Amino acid sequence: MKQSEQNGWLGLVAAIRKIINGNRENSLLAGLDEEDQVIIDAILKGIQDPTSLPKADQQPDATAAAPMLAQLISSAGRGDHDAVIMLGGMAEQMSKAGGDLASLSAVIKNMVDGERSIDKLCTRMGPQGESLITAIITELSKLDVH
Amino acid sequence: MPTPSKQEQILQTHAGLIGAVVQTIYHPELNNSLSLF
Repeated sequence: MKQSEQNGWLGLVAAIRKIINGNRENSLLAGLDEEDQVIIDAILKGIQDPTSLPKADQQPDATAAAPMLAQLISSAGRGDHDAVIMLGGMAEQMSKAGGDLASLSAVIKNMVDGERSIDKLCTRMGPQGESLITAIITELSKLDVH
Repeated sequence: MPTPSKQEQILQTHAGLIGAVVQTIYHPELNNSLSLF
């Protein structure tokens, strides 16, 4: 189960890499699960029409994004350049959103550098940010074992 | 594809990632300005 979950994220990250490298084919969707298909479809549509992009500040439950963030942080920590670029883009968006998301963007680098102390990472966080950090650290602890 | 409501939920959850990828494509120069890393 854990293996397939990780493979799922890897499939998504691989598809995103292809898009960054210029691929715009709908065949990118092949082999992805339905959640990843929605994400890739939205990216392809967003490239054609940026007004179609979903708004980050409408997130009902940011902790649902924790596995993806953890995967990117783990990959970036191992020197994966594409993961660093994606995280950087996300951090920039989060810093614009303000609030806990902005605070999170400020500690992403610490997590990439290996910081796993929830207390240290959450010094400037509200409850929502804390639950997101906790979820990310939980996911990272699974990934760090491998 | 999932139902519209589930699709909307997925989009909102991953809005940051989706926006980041599109932004990276439109503004590749941002890659070098990400001094955070």
